[in-house]
Amino acid sequence: MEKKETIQDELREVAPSLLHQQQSTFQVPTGYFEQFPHKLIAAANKEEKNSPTIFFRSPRWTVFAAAAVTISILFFSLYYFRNPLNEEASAVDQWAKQEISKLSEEHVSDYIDNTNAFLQTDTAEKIESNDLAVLIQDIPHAEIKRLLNDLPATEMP
Amino acid sequence: MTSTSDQQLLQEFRNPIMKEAAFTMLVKKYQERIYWLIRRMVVSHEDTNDVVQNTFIRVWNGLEKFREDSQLYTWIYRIATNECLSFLEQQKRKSLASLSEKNQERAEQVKADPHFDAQKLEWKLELAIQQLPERQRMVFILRYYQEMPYEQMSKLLETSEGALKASYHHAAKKIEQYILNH
Repeated sequence: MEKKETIQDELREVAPSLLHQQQSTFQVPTGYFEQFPHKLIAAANKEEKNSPTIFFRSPRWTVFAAAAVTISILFFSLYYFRNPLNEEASAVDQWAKQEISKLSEEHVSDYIDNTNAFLQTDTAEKIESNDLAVLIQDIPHAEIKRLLNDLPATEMP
Repeated sequence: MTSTSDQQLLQEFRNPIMKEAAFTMLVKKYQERIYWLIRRMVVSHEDTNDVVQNTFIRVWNGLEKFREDSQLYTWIYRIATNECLSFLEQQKRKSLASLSEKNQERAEQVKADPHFDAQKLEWKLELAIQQLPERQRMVFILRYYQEMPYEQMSKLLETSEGALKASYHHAAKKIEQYILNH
């Protein structure tokens, strides 16, 4: 603590009527300061017993990990909000529409007819059969037989 | 001398067998100074008791990890001043009263004390203190009643010594003026 004289000298200069007025005014309940330390120890021990969670609290790294995940989600959400995934697809779609609009109706009609004609040719059938043979090579015969039995007669190849 | 015995208390507190005895001694050593600082800030004994209890519970919880970068005395006082200012801040938020209304409320609490005597200078002084803003009130109490050097107060309140000195002088003049006018 600072010397009393220093404090009084300072007051004498600044506010002389406050000199030597540091008497106590408020009252404290009888025995308060004698009992306080014991009550406090009891309260501190009680608080310690009631807070075992300290052992189960998540370690600090999990907090950082959670923060990193949250930031990543926010970052990617913001990125895709600004650059949506279907932007590229819609650009292709737009381009295709533009290109098709340049074609005459006759060209488009010819293309559809030729495609249908191709699908009905032997070549198309052969490709299909070959592909099918590769696809079903690992399926047991019993399974294929069961599938054929289950199919309605109209769908039989 | 104070720091040596604080050092001893700290060593004893870190020994599980002596922990409670050391803490009891520490509380006995500081409780009155902390109590009167807070009592003059918040006025009511019940509120003071709550704030003092919270202060020492925080000391109990943090003492083992106290790194001795500062003096134990300064550290305890810093906890007490923070607890006290937080309590007053909470009160302000709850009541939504203006600063002058809150000061008036505390002045009324002073007048409600069974020993209050409007003619006595020391009671006028208590009323005048309640007219000061919180931080200035804290500076005035620490210097006037607790005789704390500016250097220590500066570490405690993290304010320059010059600013604290100016604040204290300003507060003392305001209080003197209040007393002369009432």
